[in-house]
Amino acid sequence: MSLGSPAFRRFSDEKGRVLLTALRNAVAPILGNNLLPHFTDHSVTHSDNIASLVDVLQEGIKIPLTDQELTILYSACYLHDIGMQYERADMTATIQDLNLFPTWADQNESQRRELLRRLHHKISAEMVLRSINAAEPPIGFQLTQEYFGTYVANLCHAHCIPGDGSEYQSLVCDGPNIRMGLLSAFLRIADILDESRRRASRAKERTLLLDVLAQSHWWRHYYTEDITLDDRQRAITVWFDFPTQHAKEYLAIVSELQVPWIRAELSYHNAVLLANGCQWFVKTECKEKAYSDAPAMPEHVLTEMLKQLAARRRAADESQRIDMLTKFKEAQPSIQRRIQTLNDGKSGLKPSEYLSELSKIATDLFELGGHRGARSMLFHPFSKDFKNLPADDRLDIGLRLLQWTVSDGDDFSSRTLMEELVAEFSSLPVQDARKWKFEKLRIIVLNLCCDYENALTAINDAIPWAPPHEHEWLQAEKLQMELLQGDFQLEER
Amino acid sequence: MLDLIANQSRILVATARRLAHCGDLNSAVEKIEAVVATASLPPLDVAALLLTEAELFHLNGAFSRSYEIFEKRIAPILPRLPHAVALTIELNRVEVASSLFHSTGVSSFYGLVDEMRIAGLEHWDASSLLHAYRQRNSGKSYDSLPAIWRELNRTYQQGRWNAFRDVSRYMAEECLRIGEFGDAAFHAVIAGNEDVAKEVITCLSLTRTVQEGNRSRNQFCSSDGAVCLLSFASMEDFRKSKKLRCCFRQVARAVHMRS
Repeated sequence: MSLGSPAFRRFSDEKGRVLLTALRNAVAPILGNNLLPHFTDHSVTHSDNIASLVDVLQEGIKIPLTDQELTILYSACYLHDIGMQYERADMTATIQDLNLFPTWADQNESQRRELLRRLHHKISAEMVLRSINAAEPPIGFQLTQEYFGTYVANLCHAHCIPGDGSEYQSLVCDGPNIRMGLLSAFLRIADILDESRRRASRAKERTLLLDVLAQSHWWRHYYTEDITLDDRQRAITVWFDFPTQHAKEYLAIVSELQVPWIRAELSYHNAVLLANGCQWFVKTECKEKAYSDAPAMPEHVLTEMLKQLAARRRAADESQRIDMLTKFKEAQPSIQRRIQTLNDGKSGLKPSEYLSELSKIATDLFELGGHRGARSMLFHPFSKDFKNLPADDRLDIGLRLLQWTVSDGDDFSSRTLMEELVAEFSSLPVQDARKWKFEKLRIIVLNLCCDYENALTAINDAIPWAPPHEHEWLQAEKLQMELLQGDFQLEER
Repeated sequence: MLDLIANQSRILVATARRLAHCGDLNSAVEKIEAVVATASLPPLDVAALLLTEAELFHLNGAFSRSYEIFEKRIAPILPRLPHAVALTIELNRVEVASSLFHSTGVSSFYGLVDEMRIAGLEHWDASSLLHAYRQRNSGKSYDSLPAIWRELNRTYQQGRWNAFRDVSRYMAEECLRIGEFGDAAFHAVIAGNEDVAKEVITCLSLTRTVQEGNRSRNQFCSSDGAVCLLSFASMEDFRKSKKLRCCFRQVARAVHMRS
């Protein structure tokens, strides 16, 4: 893909191009301040690239962006990072509200840089707002009403905050005939897609004292040879180029750092892109090359990348755990209401009807992850009233409850329940699969309770009638018990 | 690990161990080798069988032979095994390396411990053992003995050698406490723990004195083979033995007599 000075080709007439060219030329010197030299290129070239990328991202759109929308979008391309270059950021409310100590002026350079990096989206938005019809605009250019500055400010603020949060949603509310969600999607996706070797000059990197984190960003960009968009296939392809001898190792690490980020960004905007007919998917390409001039990165940078991946995986694990816990907690009120309703109507129900319904609720709770809760909910009511249940229910619910109790590790209760149920299952014909299921559980329970003699007897008694495919299991259990008890038979000698 | 393999392989593992415990290590190895060589087994089953063979050699003091099995035969299939199983095997390999004073082999230990922590694996179930300890102190042997027995089963199936030996030691202590001296002797030897073995011997010596005083020696001998062993000719051997793993043959004979 050839990027460079943008043509702003989506405008319907010349007026828009004139507006944007004027803005571009005015902010280019500020973007060239390069206050964060240790970062990848954030000059006007980056903004030009984004302006070109948003044009490609729009391919296939059902209703083309209006000139008004295009003006907002293109303007945001040039202004979203301008806060990064504002060394007088102490003039903004964003910094003043921090009540810094020491003050902005007394912070050392790296502290100021870090604040600029962390808050640049808000500083950019504030700079844009303060440039609307201003005599001394901080962006060096007066934004007249034709630029729709407030919308641009919202896009700037929204460009790097979490895309699934409420703050983001409030910033990208649609205006009259202005699809802010869509504009923000184009800006954010284009911003991420402009992460490649073009922005990571090796020559420049060699002249800088970069910390290891910055080095890892540099190398990640460097190994991303290009990112291309194919509007016919709707494919965004991330091309990697690694030193041949490290290709496999680096691909696993760098692509895992780079690609999920792009996928996550696309997923934030999936609905709005789909609704407007311009959805995209991501794929990666890493061709095996006999020769590559890409150098190997230093080992400590590779380690840093692995640390980043580890941190990301830990966060994902934690998030998954919280998600599961949330789902479990969300289900509790509904379960409680069902129990309450059942208990309220208990006097009008037969014991068997009550037990049957309670079993359904307990089964649902078990499947939601409430194993202990499900077992304790059902155990005593079942032990008390199971003889009132119809035969099949008695066996099915009993078997299920015994399985839960065994898997919950409560061997005392398992044994109690097992002994209560023995008579029920012993009368079943051997053809009934439930008979063997129960017998298998019985052997397991007897063994877990250290009742060696009875466990062995149960195994020996089961051999004549157990399903043939279970004979090996019986033999394996028997031999294991004998081995662990030191009860050796010596027929093998 | 043993809960993941075919029942046929579980049977072979138990049979081989039993043979070795009875002093017939060669037959045990032959049986394993015959199956590993001829059958097209899943990698997990092959690993479990070879690990058993390595353990038997290790217990018999043939450390180099044991280590060779890890290096030449188990290592190539490790990448095809579930991570938890591979980790268990690697930790056992470190144990053999340690017996050989093999510094390179041992040096991976802490890395493996970190791997276990990251993977959320735990070979010792401390809460179960604590439960057993509490029940024992409350005089509830009906609860403490099954708790330790379950741990013994679990650690046996898991395949981490020293976890199984640790629990065997707790089992020996528990058996001693409830007066099952024959079982205590068996588990003490499996544990390979000299402290608890000395306790067993002390208890047995005292019991023998009492029994002999009561002229019921024959009855006592026939009731428990392990006690027979320790109260007759092998008693001195047992006492002298610094490495209890050398006592397999004696204990096997004892247990045989019990049966």
